[in-house]
Amino acid sequence: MIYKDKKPLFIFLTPALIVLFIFLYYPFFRNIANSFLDIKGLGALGGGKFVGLDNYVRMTSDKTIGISLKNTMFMMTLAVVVQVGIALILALMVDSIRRGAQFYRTVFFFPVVVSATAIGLMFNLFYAYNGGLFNQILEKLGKEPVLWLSDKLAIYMVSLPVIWQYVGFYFVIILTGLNGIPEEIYEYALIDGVTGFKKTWYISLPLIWDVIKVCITLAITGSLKVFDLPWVLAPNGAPKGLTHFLGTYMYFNTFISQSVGYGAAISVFIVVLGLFVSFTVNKLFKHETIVY
Amino acid sequence: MKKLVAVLLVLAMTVSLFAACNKTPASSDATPTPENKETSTPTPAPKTIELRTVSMFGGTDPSAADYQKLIKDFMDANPNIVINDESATADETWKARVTTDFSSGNDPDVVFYFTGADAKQLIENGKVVSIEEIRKQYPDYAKDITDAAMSFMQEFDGNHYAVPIRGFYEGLFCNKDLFDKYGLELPTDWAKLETAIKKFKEEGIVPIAASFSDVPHYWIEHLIFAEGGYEDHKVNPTDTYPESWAKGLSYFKTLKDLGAFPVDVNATKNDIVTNMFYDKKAAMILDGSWIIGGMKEPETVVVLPVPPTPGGKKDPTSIIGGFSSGFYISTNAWNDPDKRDAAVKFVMHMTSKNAISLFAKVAGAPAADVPAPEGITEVMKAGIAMGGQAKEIDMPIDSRMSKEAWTFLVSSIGAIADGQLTPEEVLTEVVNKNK
Repeated sequence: MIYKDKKPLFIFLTPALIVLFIFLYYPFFRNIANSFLDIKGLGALGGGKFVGLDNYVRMTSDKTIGISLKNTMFMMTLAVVVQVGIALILALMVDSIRRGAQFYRTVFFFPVVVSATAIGLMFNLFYAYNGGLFNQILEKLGKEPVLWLSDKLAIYMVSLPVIWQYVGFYFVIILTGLNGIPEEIYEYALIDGVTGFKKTWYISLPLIWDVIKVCITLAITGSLKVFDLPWVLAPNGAPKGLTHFLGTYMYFNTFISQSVGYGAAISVFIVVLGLFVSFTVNKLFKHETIVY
Repeated sequence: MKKLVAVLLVLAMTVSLFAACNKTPASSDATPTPENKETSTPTPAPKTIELRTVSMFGGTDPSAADYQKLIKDFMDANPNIVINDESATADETWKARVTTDFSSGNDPDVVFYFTGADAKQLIENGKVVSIEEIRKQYPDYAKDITDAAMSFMQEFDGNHYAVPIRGFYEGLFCNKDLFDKYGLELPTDWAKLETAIKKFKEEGIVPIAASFSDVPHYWIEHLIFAEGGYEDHKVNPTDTYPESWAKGLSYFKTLKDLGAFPVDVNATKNDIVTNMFYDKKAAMILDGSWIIGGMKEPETVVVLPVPPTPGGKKDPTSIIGGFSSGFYISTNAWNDPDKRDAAVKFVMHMTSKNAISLFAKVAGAPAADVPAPEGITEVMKAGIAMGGQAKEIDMPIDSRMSKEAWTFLVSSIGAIADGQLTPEEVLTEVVNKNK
């Protein structure tokens, strides 16, 4: 114990607590209160009218909420299976190579540091029907141009860059986990004749299970918050509100439609859903931690 | 001792945190100017007054440079007034920022903002001061503004609050060179419009540049206007909607089925389709007078009123336009004895004939009786002529409807054009949200 007297520690923690309270907890609880009000206009002067659970009841008959929820769940599935899955495969491969690991680490992580707005605008140019990159390639191949953001394709096309951008993030986390496994364990395994796939399945994966669990939790909660890239790529849930996620639909209602009370109710729903899913995932993936 | 140091450190951190939040610009009184240094007899320097102004003349607005020059001229002429200007491009986020500033007590002193539905809550909550009130003390306030322009500024309570500078009109801008190339007549009636759409479609040119996912606003207003005429267009549907609104909106499907719009009309952005028009890849675009600022070849563009639909009640010359924004003085600035005079001076400077000439030279109609700008382009001439010939001029529908109802209507256009929703279904919901 470095300090016998704990008081200074609490004093040092106070500024951070004040900042968190002002900029996170107060808005959070205020938002819950707003979800019971009918507020017309952002920053509405004169407050709002108390409407009880009306905003929550409205969600049950709102078709776009259904679309947004479905899209968010789809994104969640993609994030867990594809994003974390690809990241895991890449990390396992890079961990196995002796030279050039740093190069791959940098290259795969790079999209994470590029702003979502820039990626959104870039993919906008890829998908454009007239003169877009993808259609120019098709034209060169003698094919007909494709409407990439059509009713059927749009959600896949919007999800693609979101998934692509964050693979590197999970890749680095998993790779760090793999690097933490002591070399001796592999050496003992080698003596016992365990190599290749068996080594990965019986040694690497169980030892980084906690890291994978963290990645899955981050991917799930991240999917609930997805906003910037889809908003730039397909504003207002284009086409026809079919690419709305819960985050974009909450923004649409609050800032565009200026139905602030309803937007607040949607954000409360996002938080509740996030807590529920995270709790369920933790329960599902409960696994004995291996200490080495 | 350790405890004392810890407590002092925490105090210092906390104080610096809040000090950072408290934006207190250094007073110019503190730094004497060279002129002051040279003065032999010390005379009290006039008190420096800071005005916080907010406007939409920011970003790529074609009047941004003129606006900044006018501010500089004003500060040169009034050295004791410092203008802290916060201009940005006007969009929904900017509007929300302005209302949030007012609601959180961070009222700007002068704001160039919209009128009608957008200004209603500012007026209802006494956040801005009326021109009638200002004129009791400053009879020359807004004296150069024409009665016609001022009539558009009248609010729900019968008072006027904003001083306009430039009006706007909306019309069907046509790349006349493309019409000439394919031997087509300009769309002065609905039949000619349909003929042009079919021909351009055949020739691989997008007939009408439009984006339903981004800005279908102009087409909503104009199709309702073309079908229902001036009287029906003026309706604010709070209890029911006129039949003509549903009929007018049904033309979205008619036009889409004819191939009038880009293939990706439901997903593309307004900037992209506007560039298609500028680059002659699209023949027509329905937009406001502000679009002229970005035209590469304005001599080859003309603007016409949208023709009435078959059997529609609109007069062929009638247009949507008017004055929908102006300078407001906040009640806070008006009640501050130091700022009142400075704010009035600033607005009078910005709404003088000289300033209005500068604003009007880009596009739109001037709010004062000033000579026509020199060297105006063909399309600007066509716009002025269209405004002069208009039998009726009405403001856009969204200046009357609630934001929620209007947004719902806007976001439903793609589904109406594809036949997935009927105009009646959408309008019933619009009325519910507009109550």
